[in-house]
Amino acid sequence: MAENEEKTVVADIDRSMYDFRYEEKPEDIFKVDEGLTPEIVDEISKEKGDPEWMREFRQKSLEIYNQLEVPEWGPDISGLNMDNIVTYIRPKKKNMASDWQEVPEDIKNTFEKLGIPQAERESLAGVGAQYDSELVYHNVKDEAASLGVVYTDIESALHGPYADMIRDHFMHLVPPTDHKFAALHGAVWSGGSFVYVPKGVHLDFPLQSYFRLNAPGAGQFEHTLIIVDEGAYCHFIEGCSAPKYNVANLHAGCVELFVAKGATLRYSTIENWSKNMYNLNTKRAIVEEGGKIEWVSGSFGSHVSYLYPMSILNGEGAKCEFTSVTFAGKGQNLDTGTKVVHNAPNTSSYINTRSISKSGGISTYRSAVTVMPNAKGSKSAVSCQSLMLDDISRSDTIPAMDIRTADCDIGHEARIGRINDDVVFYLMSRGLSEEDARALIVSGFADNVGKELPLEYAVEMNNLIRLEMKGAIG
Amino acid sequence: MKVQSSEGFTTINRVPALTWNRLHLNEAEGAEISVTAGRKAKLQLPSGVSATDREEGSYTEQKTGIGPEFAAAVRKAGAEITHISVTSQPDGPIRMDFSYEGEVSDISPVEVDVAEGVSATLIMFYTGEKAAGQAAVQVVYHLASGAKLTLVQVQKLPKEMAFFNDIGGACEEGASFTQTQLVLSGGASCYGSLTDLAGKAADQQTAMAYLVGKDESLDINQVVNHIGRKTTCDIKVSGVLSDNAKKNFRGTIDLRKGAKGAVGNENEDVLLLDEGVVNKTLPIILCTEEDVEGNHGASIGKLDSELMFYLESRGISEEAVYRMMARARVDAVKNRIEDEETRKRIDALLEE
Repeated sequence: MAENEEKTVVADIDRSMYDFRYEEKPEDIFKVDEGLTPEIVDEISKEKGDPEWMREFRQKSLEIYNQLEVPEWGPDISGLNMDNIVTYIRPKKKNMASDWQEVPEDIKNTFEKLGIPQAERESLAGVGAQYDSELVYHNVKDEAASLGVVYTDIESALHGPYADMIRDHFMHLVPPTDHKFAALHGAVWSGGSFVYVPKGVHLDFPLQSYFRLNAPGAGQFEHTLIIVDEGAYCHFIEGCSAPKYNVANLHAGCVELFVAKGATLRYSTIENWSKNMYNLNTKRAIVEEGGKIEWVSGSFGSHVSYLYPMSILNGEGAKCEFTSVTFAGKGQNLDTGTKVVHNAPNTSSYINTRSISKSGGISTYRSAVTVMPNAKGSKSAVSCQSLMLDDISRSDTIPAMDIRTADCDIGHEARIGRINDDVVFYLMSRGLSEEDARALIVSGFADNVGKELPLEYAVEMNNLIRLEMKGAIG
Repeated sequence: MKVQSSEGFTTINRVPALTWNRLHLNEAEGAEISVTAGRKAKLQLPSGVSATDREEGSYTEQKTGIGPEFAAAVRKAGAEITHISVTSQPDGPIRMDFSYEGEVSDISPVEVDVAEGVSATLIMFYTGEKAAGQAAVQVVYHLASGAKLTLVQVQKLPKEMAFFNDIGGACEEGASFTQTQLVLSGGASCYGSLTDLAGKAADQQTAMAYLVGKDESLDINQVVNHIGRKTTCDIKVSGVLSDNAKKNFRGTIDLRKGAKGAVGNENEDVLLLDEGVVNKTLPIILCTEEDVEGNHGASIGKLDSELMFYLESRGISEEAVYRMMARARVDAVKNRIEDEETRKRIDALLEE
């Protein structure tokens, strides 16, 4: 019966796992006024106890923000009015805890529902949990700490023994001048994590940060800074979700990754923001000699996304692998892809993406592969595939290549199409319903990402696909 | 690249879907141009074809590859339009020779109208040994049901010239437009082409080869709009860049809602010979229809090392191998041209 119901209900997705929220009383929260002014930026800076250089940095970023234009090439973001966005909000009783029991009850329940503490117990070396603008929990297991691994909130790092390291790296890879929302981030950033993996340390278990934006009409601007030193290995996982509101929410985070000589960093993301979210996130990695960055990215949520993790292959033999899946459903315009700059000899990049559009959703794959004159002997292979599940959706691919040396080998292939009826027929002849057959094909289509994720996250991703596919057959 | 008009400077070869501005690929960039005088080509008409000079164009609403602002500037220049009507099956190709000499600032608008069920071939040569300045040719066509137009364009111009080649047209049901283009030399060359596959089963085929060398640049914007059901297109572009050559290629397949059963393919193969070259490629697929298929591919780089090793082991020098490979790309496109006279003339231009 339930199965039949799913087939007749058009794309009414059960998001209860993510959409629950606890009503907070106004007296329990601290927040700045809506909008963006020098006074608000100063208030955030004061609230966070910034060092003077950071306060100046924020004000300079605000000036840059006011000078830069909204991009004219991507999805429409006219529904986002910064005058209505609260850029800093936190529970009054907040104090970042390193013991789960110290986390306030309602927040704890939120993360319990999302399965974060369970994941920490079972499969993670460390966890950070951010609730609105601030981290509420941060812990790194003793095994990792004993190896010298630092995993802490970035505000603590700003005042502790790593203060100089933060100052030397903070928004150096993504300067506020990069684009309007990088400047916005520089002005109002709050929360996020700092990770340092020392030379030669191989972290067997992943670290995870989970970002939860609970308040309506709010923005989340966390900053993630990861330094993986020479020869080290780290897998970092981030997850994001928010309950759905009728007003626009904004996520303009910034991720800066520094991968030293011979080091490897795998950065995995399962993004499932609610469908009123403007996700204008910036992620960038710089990879030195023989190092490797591996991006694994699943984009399922948000109303509008601009998301293009960028890899700068800066040392000889540096490598990049980018694997992603984007699923755009009703009311979503997800503009995702990647940028790679080959800036040293014998560098290589491999990009493998899948996009799915359904129920009027728009997915755009956008990329840029740049090979600089000094990147002799470099190789790049790009494969992007898009699947259209109906004729009211849209799928575009806009891949650019800028090649400035003859001594390179660049290949690109892309394909847009639909599910092959013969394959559906075959699966149905083996006893599957049409909906199950299509869901199976779509899951297989997205398997490029699923097989790169730890099992629990692959299961979550497949659940998300299954949820999105419910009601796909009218 | 900018085109001067009374309203100021306007952009050309703009891609239908924009991307990051800092890639400098959304439109052509480069020298400014002002074309003022009309130029008539040496025209050779077979039977079944008539040509008239007109002050007003018949297809002013038709979009072209270089763009609407360029088209407006062409109209503003006030040059007479050579309107070619193909009403019955011609007994040979239409030939237009544009031979440039001295200082030029010329614009040549051409319209081609092919009647239902008729097949026509238009062969255009752009040559000039001691010419300098700027020249533009615009071809706007309309193909009725079942009509076929094969457009062959061959360019061999001096480095001192900037040249603009603009094409735009519509294909009704079952009509087919084939463009075969060879760019052998030129200073700053700008090629735009836009095809509306409006009718059911309309088809567009592009075969283009280019050789871009020292102090030369080539900017290409190809757009195919799949509007009718079961429309097809195949864009194949290949070329060789040497010395400090610069080349941009934008190819857009737009699979629009309602174009059920449409299939669009595009491919670019670029051989890079020297360290100073700059190659930019932007192959785009836009899709608002489920029951379609769009594919694109690009291959950019030097010659395969195993192939190079094999050929060198047969006693062929590296320089000869590259010459051979460059020639092979041109020949592959040249050999699609059915007219023997044209093929011989291309061979002669290559030997010069």
